[in-house]
Amino acid sequence: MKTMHLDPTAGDQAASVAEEVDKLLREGKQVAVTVAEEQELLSPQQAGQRLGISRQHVRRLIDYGELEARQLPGSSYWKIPLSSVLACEERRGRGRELAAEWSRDLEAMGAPPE
Amino acid sequence: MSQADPPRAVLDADIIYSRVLHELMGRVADDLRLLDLVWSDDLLAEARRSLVEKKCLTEEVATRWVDYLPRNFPDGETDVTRAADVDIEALTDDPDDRHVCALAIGLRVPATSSLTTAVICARPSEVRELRSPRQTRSSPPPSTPTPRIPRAHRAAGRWLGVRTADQGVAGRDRAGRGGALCRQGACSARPLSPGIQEFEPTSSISGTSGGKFPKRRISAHIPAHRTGKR
Repeated sequence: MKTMHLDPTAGDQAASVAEEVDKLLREGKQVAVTVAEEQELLSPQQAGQRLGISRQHVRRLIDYGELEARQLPGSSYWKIPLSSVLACEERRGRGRELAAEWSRDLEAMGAPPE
Repeated sequence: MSQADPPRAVLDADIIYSRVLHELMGRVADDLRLLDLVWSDDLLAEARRSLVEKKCLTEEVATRWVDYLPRNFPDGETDVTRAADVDIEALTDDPDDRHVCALAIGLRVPATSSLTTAVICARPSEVRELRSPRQTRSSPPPSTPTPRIPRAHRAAGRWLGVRTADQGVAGRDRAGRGGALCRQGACSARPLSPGIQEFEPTSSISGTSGGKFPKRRISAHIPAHRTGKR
């Protein structure tokens, strides 16, 4: 899964998106494209669906400061900017990549699995 | 907006010794943010020595093996010099456990997170059980389901000297409140280990667990320097 951030001040960036989509289609892969405004606000339920975790765990991540969120004036409901969810997703992706690299290195060195 | 932090946890050399468990706990911490992993150079040196001696790995492989924590959790590095004024040898007879005690003292583990820490550093077999329940223990009868985390907490309780009235659970309730309320006074908990009673003054914690489980009274014997209360 790839997320592309487009900056309205930086030239024609939509072409790079089309190029990426085209590349995947040429490889015969099915592609789903989601277009969203980065400051779009998600509910904890929606953020949880995106991150693959429960609504309750989203609330915990907000408490831990892992997810930036805000309460609308006069409301007790939390709203989470999409950009914050994407940042969390990227952070988790980096962690997974580091773990996978560690595993690959140990495999290559012939380390036992247990 | 950080109002709380995930419970801190020390992975003892027993956990680091197993590549699968090691990585599993790393993913629990990194991916799900259920834990904050902490480590020290002494702990990693001990794990490296153990891997070379008991698993017959080369120095190069052992170094890469223990490199997981520093590389994935650089913020978890902990200075254990604060433990320098404590007689670690009085806490444990096992030389292999001294670096964990030093780390726990250096961290000043608060009462609410000490249970999680204890599960991981003192009861690796319990964690293994949680990982593959079907292989190591029979399933509980449907009428009395045994939740996984409370089972681990009970194990931690045994290690810490926590006494629960009905072998109940200790932990956080559904609202995220820690089930601990510190107060000075006598404590009826069993001693943690030879030497732990040497800490004075001591305080006791008590509270109730909540959530979907019935409320139960718990009490624990925590050294004053670990609770931060006088």
